[in-house]
Amino acid sequence: MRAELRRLLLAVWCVSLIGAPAVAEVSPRHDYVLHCSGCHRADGTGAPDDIPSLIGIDRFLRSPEGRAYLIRAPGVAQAPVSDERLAALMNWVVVEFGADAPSPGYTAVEVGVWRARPLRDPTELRARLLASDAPSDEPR
Amino acid sequence: MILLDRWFEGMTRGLARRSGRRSFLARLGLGLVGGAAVPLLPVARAAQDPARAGAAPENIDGPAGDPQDCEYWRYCAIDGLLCSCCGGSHTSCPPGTEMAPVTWVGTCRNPADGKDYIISYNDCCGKTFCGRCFCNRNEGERPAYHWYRNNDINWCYGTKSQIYHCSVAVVLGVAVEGQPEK
Amino acid sequence: MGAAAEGDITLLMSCFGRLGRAVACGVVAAALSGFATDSVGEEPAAASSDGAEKWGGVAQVPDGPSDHRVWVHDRVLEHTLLFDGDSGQMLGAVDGASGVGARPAYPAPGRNELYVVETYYSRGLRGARTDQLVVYDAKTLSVRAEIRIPNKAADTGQGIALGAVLDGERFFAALNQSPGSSVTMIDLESRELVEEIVTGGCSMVYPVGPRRFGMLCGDGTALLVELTEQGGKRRAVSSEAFFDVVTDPVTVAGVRDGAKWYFASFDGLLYEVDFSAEKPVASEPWSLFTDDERGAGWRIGGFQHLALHRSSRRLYSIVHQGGTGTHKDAGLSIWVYDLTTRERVMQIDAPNVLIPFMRPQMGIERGSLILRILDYVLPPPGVHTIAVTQDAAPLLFARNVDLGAVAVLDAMSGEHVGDLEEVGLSGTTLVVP
Repeated sequence: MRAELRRLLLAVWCVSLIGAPAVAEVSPRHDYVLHCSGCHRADGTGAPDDIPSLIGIDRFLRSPEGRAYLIRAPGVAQAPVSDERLAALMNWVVVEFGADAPSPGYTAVEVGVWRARPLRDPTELRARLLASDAPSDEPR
Repeated sequence: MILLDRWFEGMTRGLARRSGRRSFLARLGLGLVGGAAVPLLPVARAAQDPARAGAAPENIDGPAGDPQDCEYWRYCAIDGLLCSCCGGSHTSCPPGTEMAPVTWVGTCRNPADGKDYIISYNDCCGKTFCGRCFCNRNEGERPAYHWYRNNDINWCYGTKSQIYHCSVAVVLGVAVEGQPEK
Repeated sequence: MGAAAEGDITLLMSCFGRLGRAVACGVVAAALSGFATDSVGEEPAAASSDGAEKWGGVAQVPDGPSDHRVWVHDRVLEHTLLFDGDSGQMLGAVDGASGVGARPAYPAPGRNELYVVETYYSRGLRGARTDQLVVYDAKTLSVRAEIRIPNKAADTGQGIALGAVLDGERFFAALNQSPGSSVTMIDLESRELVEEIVTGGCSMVYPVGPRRFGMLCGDGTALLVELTEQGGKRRAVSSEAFFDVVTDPVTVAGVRDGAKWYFASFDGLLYEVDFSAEKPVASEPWSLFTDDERGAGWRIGGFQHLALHRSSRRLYSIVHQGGTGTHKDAGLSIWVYDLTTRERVMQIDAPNVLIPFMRPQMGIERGSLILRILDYVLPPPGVHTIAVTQDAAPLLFARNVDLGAVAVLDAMSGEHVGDLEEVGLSGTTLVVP
């Protein structure tokens, strides 16, 4: 299972280098307000204990697993939008609440692969990803 | 006897139509029970305000609408007590309560301009049930496993208290289209 | 509901006559009502030689046939009442703590206990929050134990599928939603919290075995959670996607037959989800409505809108005519299906629950002509919730969420045989122990 996941991570990473990042047909801000802002709030700060803050979200892009995590998180994976729109939305979210744009940007293909494997224990993976990150700038 | 039957039947149907599915339950709702029983009778209800009871929902909505009425356009998926009937408004909480920063968001179509608007259904928290203007509309609403379109959950998250008092419906902007679940 | 109770009312009515008769009348009425109470309680109050009754008696839930009992939950008064469906008598109550839905009671007959997930605050409706699983003795209805759980117990207006006693009655699974979901596992034997299992994107709890429960997920799949011997998470496995949350989701009000759960979609497709194997498997759905019926706008709706009588394989479904977005509306009909043949075998008109709701409030005598006229004149409000007993002569209970009465029907004939009156203010669930 783990080896399979690792192979998939590598394959998607390679594909993402050559694919064109999704360009929004509908404003990603619109989709963020409609699908995400209820819980994560307009300013991305979430709520203590219950809803993760999106501030500094770009830190997850430092590893392929973190990059996949952002799409496999259930609220993202199960969002009722097409792969294209989800990719554009997440490219926007990363810039809006983080510092750096994803490089390369998420593509519809990459998003399609990851959202088909939603995380049932996102908190465990999140904690692991953050633990491997520098503890000084852990987002709250 | 047949004539009498028909008369009763006609009366029953008329009442059902006038009362309307939602206002019927709304008026029978939380606040009335245990109090005076007579106003519960549909006969009494229909007599109270015959002009409005007879109007179609579109007419009730109108361009401005009535924020104290379940049929008001922006309440298209509200499940709860209207803050506008509880000392607040359709966009603000009643005194002494706290608006939950966490909520669910959907769209409603405004019949005045035919546009879909993004609506945030925030709960006001910190006092027990207001008990007035109970509404339960579910256009585009989804079960709790699709939590961010669910109106059944107590959305008093991120507040000091998780005690539910009433709900507001704040317009966040114009939607480019209705939410996908519609 | 018995002759004694009706006699009481006639007697009381006649009291309004001449003042002179009132005193004597009152004495007889008091004696009669005393008799009625005793018939429910444990010990009849034995009068001593000077006529004084024994003081301080506390009843227990009576022994004897209990097939026709039902727990009627009230989300406003925040408790659950136990009724006998045959006599219409209330037998006792347990509290349900605070919340928009309050919490229903979950019976465990083998342990002679029931459980309520409670949220309460140190200053009533203010102060520090404490969530716990409260263990009640099923006979005395007094608290046996309190088990502290994380302060995130799910609170929904429906109160459906928020918790479950797993088979074997060793573990209780309590749903959390904050608004991400997880399940708190509690060991009923040791009275201890086992662990919290994170179940992102999936919600509700459907027991399917001693150490297994199912959930529904927002990507159209079902999740099977398997537990270790100690009740912790062993693994979680998803089914293939079988419904679409955008176009036609299933409601959370499933009904159970062993390791299988039946779920109906908004448009009336019935899915059978089998949780008995390694991975949950959903069957090809079949429609509760013909094309013509669907064209005429027939839909499922309500809260606890399905009920299953397992031995006869009869499925009861509240139906109404309406458009999209009416999935929580009350229905005026209950359609009955044979799950084996997939045919509709009966259509029941939902009783007009306005009548038993109004009768005690208006002080109208049972069986009076006024009630019959009101029943004829008043439009029935329909029902949102049903439950059926599992014995050979089953009763079907039906309620409207906002009316404090429950109609009692013969589940086989559909005949309206009685009512439970004054059951509260507002509630969504009916639990048959």
